[in-house]
Amino acid sequence: MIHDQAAAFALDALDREEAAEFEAHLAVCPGCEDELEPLRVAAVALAFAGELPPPRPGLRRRVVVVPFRRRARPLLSAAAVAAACAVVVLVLTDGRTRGVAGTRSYPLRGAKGSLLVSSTGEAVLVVHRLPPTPAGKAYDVWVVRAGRAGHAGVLRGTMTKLTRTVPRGSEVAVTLERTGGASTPRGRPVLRTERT
Amino acid sequence: MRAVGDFREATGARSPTKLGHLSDEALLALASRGDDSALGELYDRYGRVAYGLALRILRDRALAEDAVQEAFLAVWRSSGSFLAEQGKPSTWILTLVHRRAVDIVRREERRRGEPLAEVVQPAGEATDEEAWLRAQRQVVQEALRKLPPDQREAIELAYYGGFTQSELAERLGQPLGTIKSRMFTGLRRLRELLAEAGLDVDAP
Repeated sequence: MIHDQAAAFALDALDREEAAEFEAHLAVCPGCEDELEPLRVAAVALAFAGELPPPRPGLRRRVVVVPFRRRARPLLSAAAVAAACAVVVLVLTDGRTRGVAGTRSYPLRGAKGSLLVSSTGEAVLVVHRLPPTPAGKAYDVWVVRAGRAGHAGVLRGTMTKLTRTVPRGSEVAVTLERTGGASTPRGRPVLRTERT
Repeated sequence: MRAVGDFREATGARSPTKLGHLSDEALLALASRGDDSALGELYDRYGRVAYGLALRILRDRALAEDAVQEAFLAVWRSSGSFLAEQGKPSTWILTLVHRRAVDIVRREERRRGEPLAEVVQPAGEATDEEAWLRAQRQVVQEALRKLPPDQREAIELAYYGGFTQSELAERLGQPLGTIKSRMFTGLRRLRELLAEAGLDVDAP
């Protein structure tokens, strides 16, 4: 029974194999995530129970400066963007002509691919090589704005036209959900975009 | 209600930076786009607790600093995949710090299982942040004291000692199932006690 590992997971008291197994389970079990969260919050409160001497000032510099020195942002190659945009024109225009110029492209985090958004907010999600879904599960697409997620369709194949527009300032995320069920995302995002 | 770890709410405009008014979620979003001052602001909010926690587990200043640095690197790297539905950023950040400290303590075999020492409050003027941390500490310590001793022992040895549940079962001479149930019942009770004390520990 994997659910009885939740408290130990919240306390980081699982060994490496147990923790990996539990995390894999979490990815497909929304109920488990709900059960875990309050345990995790209680565990984190323990961080405040001890003496908290201030760190040396140099630590701030190590924390803030170092990661940004080796910053490298993954970007699609220009050729890949151009190829994807060409397809988007076909998908989005519905027979009308619309230029590629107004189409914006955003890289994905968590999977290879990109989100392409037209000037009117219509969008296509291009995703390569996601693992196949388990039986009874589907990859649901969400448009997240101001902390609220709206269902925007189900991933089908490499290219999915979203069923809702993607306004500026929103993000697109994909979670693994029960087929045909979810009105709000329950799973952890398997991929997401940056803010558009 | 106050939120666990939310210094900003407690201490008002303590942050002098231009980002002081932003929510943790907004700072994570900025950090994910490469804004180093956003990461700095998150460090200003949670760095002290992060370091104190790591130091308590590792009992070595240099190792604690390593743990904090590596955890904030993980925060920065994963900031783009954080979703508010997953809970609060502060919980997530401190979870990463704890995990890193436990990884190091297991690697270094530095674990110790001393019970939680009662902290002597230092006399004198306290900054807003210190006053807030003292109040937090008092609430959490009181809640811990109300737990049955065997539950408290299992939770503290796991969280501060870095022991796995199997190691605890062996160390305490109890079946694994007993350890699991002490941790689960204890954590759930702890959450209730903290909520009663006015700390917002509700699930999102």
